[in-house]
Amino acid sequence: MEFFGYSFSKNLYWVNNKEGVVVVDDQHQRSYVLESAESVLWRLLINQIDAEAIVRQFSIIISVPEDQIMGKILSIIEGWKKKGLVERMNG
Amino acid sequence: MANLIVSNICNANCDFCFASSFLHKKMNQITQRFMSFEEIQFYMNLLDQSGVHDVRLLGGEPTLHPNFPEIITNIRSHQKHITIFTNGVLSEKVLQTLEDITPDVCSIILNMNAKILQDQIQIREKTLIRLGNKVISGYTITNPIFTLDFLTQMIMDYSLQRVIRLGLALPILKKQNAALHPKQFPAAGHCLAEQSAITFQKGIRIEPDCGFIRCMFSENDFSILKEHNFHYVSCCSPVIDICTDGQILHCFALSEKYYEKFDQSMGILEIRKKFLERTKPWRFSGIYPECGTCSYKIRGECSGGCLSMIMSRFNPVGVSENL
Repeated sequence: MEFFGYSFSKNLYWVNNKEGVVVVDDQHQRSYVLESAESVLWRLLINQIDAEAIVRQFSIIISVPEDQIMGKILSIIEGWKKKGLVERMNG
Repeated sequence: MANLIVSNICNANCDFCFASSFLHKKMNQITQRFMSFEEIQFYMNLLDQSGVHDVRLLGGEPTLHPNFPEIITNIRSHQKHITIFTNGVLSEKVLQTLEDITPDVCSIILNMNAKILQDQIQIREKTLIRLGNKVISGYTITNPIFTLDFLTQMIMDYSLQRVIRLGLALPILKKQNAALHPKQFPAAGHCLAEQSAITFQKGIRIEPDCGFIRCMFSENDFSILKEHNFHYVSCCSPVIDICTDGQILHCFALSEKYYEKFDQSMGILEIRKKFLERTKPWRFSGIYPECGTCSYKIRGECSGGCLSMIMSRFNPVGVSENL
């Protein structure tokens, strides 16, 4: 699954909890509770709708103007990369 | 404490069986097997080295092991306390062995809702008559509406120990055994509170097994249970299973995911610790979406339920293995 030049890492499991999306990295034996905006983005990405629709819907749901939303998305994804939840495509 | 799975065959056919992955009848690729006497001796030495003093014999049906009396003698020679989990359909040889042992040396937990045949029921009756107060009744809740009346009556009629070891039918991850659904827990909790009045009147104590959660009991039901001497515990502290094929399991419920081939370089306690580390990330959640924010869980009064149920809620991402 590819999105914005990234893909999800292997051996991840997720669930919708009241506090947000919980992701378990089974390989590295870690779990993360995603924050509100992160949870929204996670669910949009998992549903595999196209990039444009993700940007549009994410912008509406978290009330950030469309011209600023890409920066927000990339900053979230960068945070996930640091946690090992996503990997950059092609290295 | 450690579980020795000395037999992978069983003469009962319980829908809720936690050990079904290891039962001969249900997995064609696994052949009928009993743990050899040499293997048992080896594990006994290992348990001695690890300082484990309690050994529980399980199966399948552990008493079907052809050398069952010798196993008991062997474990006793290691000064260990033995607990036997059985369906009570015992041969004369096994009955004689168990008649000679006192309850302080060996506990016998008899699965009272094992699915056995009519002629087996008669054999079990003989067991109850002859072992009497050596027997602790085990009961697994498979339906949220249940009664302990018949069990109470049996305890009185056969002078069994005035204890019921109460379990919940929990799912084996990736398998299809009959199990309670999390939505049924509150009804089962309420029913248990009602039933506890009857057992309490007869001086029978109910001891819960794993998988119980705090919110399955309303405040009112919880007070009733407390009054009736029900010691609620909610924890997931597995007693590892040592199987006939040399596999070590976290527990039966997670037998399809967390197992290790026995490694001589690690002691039993180290293997258990490794399992606990591997399962730790899942323990932050619970069987309900609300568990992560639940005050009972935050305060450590509830574990969030059976890990198998918790893990079943999760979805794999991309190339993850299906849970």
